[in-house]
Amino acid sequence: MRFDDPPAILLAALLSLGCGSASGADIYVIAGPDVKLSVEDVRELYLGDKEFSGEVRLVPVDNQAALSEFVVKALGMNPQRYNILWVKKAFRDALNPPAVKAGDFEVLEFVKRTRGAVGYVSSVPRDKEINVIGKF
Amino acid sequence: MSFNNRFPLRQLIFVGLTATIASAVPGVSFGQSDAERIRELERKLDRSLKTIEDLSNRLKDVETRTPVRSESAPPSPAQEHEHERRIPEIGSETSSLPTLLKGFADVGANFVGNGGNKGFFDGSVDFYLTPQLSSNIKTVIELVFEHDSTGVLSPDLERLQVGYTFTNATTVWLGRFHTPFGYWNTAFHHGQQLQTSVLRPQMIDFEDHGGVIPAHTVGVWGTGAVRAGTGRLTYDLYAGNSPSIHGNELDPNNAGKTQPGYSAGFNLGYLFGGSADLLKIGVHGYRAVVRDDSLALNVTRANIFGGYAALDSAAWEVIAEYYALRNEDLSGGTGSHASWTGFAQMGRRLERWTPYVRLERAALSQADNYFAQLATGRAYSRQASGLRYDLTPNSALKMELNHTVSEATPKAVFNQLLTQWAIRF
Repeated sequence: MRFDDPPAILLAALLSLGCGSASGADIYVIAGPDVKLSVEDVRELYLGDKEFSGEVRLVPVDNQAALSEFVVKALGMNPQRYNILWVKKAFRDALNPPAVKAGDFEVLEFVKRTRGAVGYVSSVPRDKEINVIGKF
Repeated sequence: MSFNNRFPLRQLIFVGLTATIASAVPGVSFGQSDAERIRELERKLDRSLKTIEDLSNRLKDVETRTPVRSESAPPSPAQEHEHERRIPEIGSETSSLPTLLKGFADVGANFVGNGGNKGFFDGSVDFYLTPQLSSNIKTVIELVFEHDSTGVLSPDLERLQVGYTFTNATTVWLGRFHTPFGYWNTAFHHGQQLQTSVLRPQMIDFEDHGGVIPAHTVGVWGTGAVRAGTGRLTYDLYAGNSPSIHGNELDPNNAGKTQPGYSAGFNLGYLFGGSADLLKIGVHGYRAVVRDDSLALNVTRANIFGGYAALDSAAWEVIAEYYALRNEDLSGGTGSHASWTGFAQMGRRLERWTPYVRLERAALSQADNYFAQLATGRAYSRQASGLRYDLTPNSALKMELNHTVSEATPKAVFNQLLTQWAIRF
């Protein structure tokens, strides 16, 4: 270990101090007021095993900007496996995979105006019409 | 920023940082000796460097797994797949959902030693639609085009189902569907790109390809799953037209039938962990009254019972299915005849490569009119091994070598080398 290399020490220290945030931002699963879901339901919904919340047909939507983070944290798989799973689901069970939105804004807009919509975003929504179902 | 040219600043940063780190280390106080503090700092820096290394490795890992989402860059395979799943804004009414045409196709070359067709071939083209008509009503329309053994192109309405989803645990379908026995028949069927191997196991091949277990049913089918413990209990209950044997092959009687006889079956499974990428085990049963078009006009009650297991993980694919048959002769009075058949396939996924092996065996009683009347109803054994390479997420190259011993008259022993390029769109 060299102590005469302050830039390296500075970099190491900054990275070390920043470890907490480097582990990845939180993902918030959101839905409109007509959707009643538990955190446990989120996995079933995004794996195609849950289609309804009471009488309301659920419309899950993916967020391209946060998809990798969400799939790893909430579903415990990588994005490739997630995609393959939906290909098989579509062929076998005639389920259509979630639509893909570009980012948080598009997901929020979709959830606000679509009955039964469920999405996920990378920050807590401030809109009172939107409920946070869970954090991953 | 050059630290070498600004030595005072460098010293200040170094001193400040040292103090910060030192004060952050539990148990380190200014009352400690310099040597102790330096050792503590060394340990802290070792941990920091290890953290940097871990982060660097994680970053590399993420970069290799995550598609680059640059607008200007050509789309990666993963992006292309994202595009496949992208659908336009759907509004508040699910009935406005656009219906995407999806499908499979395959081409290849076969070299067979049993006198069959060899050389290059175009396989099948499978188009399917899954329109969601309302919150509860959905459909499956699947149409397959393929050449028969004489080269004639024949369309086949593979699936035509209309379903109503009552709850998360219950969907009822009406129409022609893939008979939900075992795992393979509903998981892959004509989705050649989905299945690892080139060939299906012979006993569950399509009716017009020599399968001896009815692969399609025209009727009504209830299916669903409920949570049970940490997993999910899945069920299928179905009833439909009995198949017949026409021209030495099974006929699902798509347009109804003139003679009595219905089929019924079930499939009960348990999905460990509740995820489709984990282990599923189950039992299945099937019963049907089957009439053939021989001179004797035999009537047989087919009774099938068995079990299966399937593991579809990121690293392994293991599928095993077993069918025990106790067919009863209802017209000739020869009694009940016992037969069995099954297969086991194992594949190891190594990035894009998947080597696999499969064993098949069928011990089919020739005193049973059901098998005696089917062209492929002879006992056989087959050992197959192959290699699959995923060029892209939706395109796979496969090569398979198999050895078959068929207890036909005369006995047939042959090898096949099969290649296939299977795509999904």
